[in-house]
Amino acid sequence: MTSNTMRDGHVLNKPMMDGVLPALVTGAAYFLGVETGLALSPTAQAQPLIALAPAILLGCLLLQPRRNWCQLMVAALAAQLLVQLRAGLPMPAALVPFIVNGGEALAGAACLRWLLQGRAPAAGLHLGALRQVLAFLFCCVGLAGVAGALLEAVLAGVLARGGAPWWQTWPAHLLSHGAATLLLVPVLAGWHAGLLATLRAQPWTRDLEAGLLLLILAVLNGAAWLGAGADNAGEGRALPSVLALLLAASMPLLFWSALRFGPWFTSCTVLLCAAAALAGAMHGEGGAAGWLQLYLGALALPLLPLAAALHERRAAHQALQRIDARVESEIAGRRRAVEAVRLCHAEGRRQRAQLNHLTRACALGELSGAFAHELNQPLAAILANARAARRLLGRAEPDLAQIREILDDIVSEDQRAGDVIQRLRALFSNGEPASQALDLNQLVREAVELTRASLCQQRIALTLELSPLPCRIEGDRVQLQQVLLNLIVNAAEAMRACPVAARVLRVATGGLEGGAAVVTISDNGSGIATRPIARIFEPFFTTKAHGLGFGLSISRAIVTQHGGRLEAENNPERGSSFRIILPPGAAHERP
Amino acid sequence: MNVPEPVVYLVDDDPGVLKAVTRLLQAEGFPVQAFSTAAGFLRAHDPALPGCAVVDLRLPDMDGLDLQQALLGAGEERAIVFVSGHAGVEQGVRAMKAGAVDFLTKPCDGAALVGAVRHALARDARERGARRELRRIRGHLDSLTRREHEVLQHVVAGRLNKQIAFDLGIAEKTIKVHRARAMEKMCAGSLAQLVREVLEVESGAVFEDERVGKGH
Repeated sequence: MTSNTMRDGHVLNKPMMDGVLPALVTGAAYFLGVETGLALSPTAQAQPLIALAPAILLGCLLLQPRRNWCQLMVAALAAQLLVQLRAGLPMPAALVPFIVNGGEALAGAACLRWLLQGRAPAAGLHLGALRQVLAFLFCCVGLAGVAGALLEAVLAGVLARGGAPWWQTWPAHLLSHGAATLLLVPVLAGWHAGLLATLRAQPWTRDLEAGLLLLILAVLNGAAWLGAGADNAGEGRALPSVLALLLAASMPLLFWSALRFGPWFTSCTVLLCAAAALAGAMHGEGGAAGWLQLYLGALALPLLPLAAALHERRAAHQALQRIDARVESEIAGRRRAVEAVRLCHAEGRRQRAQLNHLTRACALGELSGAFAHELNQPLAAILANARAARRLLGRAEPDLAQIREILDDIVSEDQRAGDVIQRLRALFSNGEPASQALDLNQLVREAVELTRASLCQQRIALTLELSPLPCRIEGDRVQLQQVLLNLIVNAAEAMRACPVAARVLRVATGGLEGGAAVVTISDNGSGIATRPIARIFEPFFTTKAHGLGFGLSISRAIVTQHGGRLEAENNPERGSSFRIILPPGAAHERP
Repeated sequence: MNVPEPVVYLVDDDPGVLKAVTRLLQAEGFPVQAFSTAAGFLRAHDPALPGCAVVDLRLPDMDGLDLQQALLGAGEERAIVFVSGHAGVEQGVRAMKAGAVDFLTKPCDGAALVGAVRHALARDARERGARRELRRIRGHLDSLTRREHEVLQHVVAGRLNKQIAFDLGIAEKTIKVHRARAMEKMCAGSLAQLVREVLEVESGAVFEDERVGKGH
């Protein structure tokens, strides 16, 4: 509830409210602390068994921004005076406990703040890190305790109060204050840092485990101190060995707590042990206040840094694991991405090959008439030859020499038909592209031969200007044929609307500087109206009623795969020209 | 008059086909002249020779249809059988409209080709005879005087001598003389023959088959 109220104060963020609520809470807590301390003290005059008030003040100071400290101190002073005046102490003497407590708390808080470089209390100070714990022990328990003890002794001397001399009182002071600080401040800090929520979030098996742990420790400590107090009443000597035993019994359980539940829960556990021990000691009427303080100190002192170190180690380990996991997942993600990209590439290649085949089949479909003619020629020759032979055989004296000649011709014509089919099959084949040394002139001649009949049918005159030198290139015969066929068919199509006299298709080959070979296919058609011209190479772009729009895009892809380029331009007068520029083959001979 | 043997002109750019078809036609007994180009054929073509042409529609230097047009344009009439490996309906129609005898698709049956060639030769002979007959009649007509021609027109129109005399304003006797001279010049044995011959010239066609080759 304390922390909630304080945090609400922060949230409201009003200057008036900012310091007031924490101050009120601090005052109330301080008052309760003093009262409890007095209640726990063996006598009113002596040092309280466990000085809760300065520990509470120290905790509040540590958890509040420095600008609020003044209000907190005033509130604490008010609470202290209320207690002292109620008890009927005279004025200067009534101020002594406050000066001691306040001075000690201020010194500890300031020193710790300075060591931790003034970090924001709520965010930074949860005493879960070894560095913070060591700084806390050094400043708040060590330095502040010693300073408080000295201050008290000096004040006692100045005020000339009766009682033991300071060198006898300061160890008791140190024990009383140190134990309280060790027990309370870490719990307060953790609470304020919102660590309770982390405990709430854990599964019920761990709750059970924690509860069991707390129960065992509480019973153990309570019972031991109850017994120890009774024992102590009889003879004082057995107590140290009992304490050692109790410490030895409690420590493993506390280690367990530190290992399993972290520093803050351990602090809470220690606090519970202390409470149980106190309760036991009070009930047992034990006079061994010094031993109890020592016991509590011995319990808390090693556990705090140990738990913090364990926690830090575990946090570091977890962070490492998280980083590892992230790196792993990153790597796995990368691997998946690489795999996906690879699959995409493979799929793309496969689809391109299919599309390639499809467009080739389309282009060949347009040339089917020409192919029929190609095949018809040898078939016609064979048929006529066979008829002639039969006729000759029907004569009284057949001319056997001529019949033999006819049969020879039939064989060669049949081979010719077979060649045509072979060529067709090669063009239709969907095989893997294979690179081989080719003569561009030969390639162009073959493509022109395939299309000649079709051109003739469309009454297109063909001008073939082949370079006198062989144009050596390297590439896939079928694919390059496909490009040539595609361009020739397109050119023929472009001249469909032309008058017959103007239908001239020009196919020329030549060499370029550096051995590159070029084929130019020009028509006298209507030219390319598309702007920019390069758009005609985009997939799905078509000007034909039944075109797929892939011919040119695939042609360009094929030429690019061969390391060359495919260009289109409109002729100065009429029609358009396509240029295939291919790099020289390995076997290129410079002219 | 010695009638020369009909010849078959064969035009095909494919050497294999050219050779085979030449063989086939020769085996069938036709004298063949083979050409691999349209130009070669046009150079060697003799319109006076009877016979026909078997032409591949696809030729390297000229379309078969163009070849047909070239022959028609030069007035060299020739019965043509077209052979094509890939022709469409359109080309076939064009060829037939321009007077082709037949349009065969490769690979054509030898019997069909021989049949087409026979048919073409027969048609060539027929047309050749008709043309000769017309030329003869036209020659006779040209030998008539203007008055004889005038009288003949009236005779063919079925008018009587008296009516002709009245129309032309001359004596009926004179008409008779002109008429007899015209009949004689026309070598017409009868009035019916005279009428038919004149009508044939006017329509440009020969009417009856049995008259083919009857000329001198």
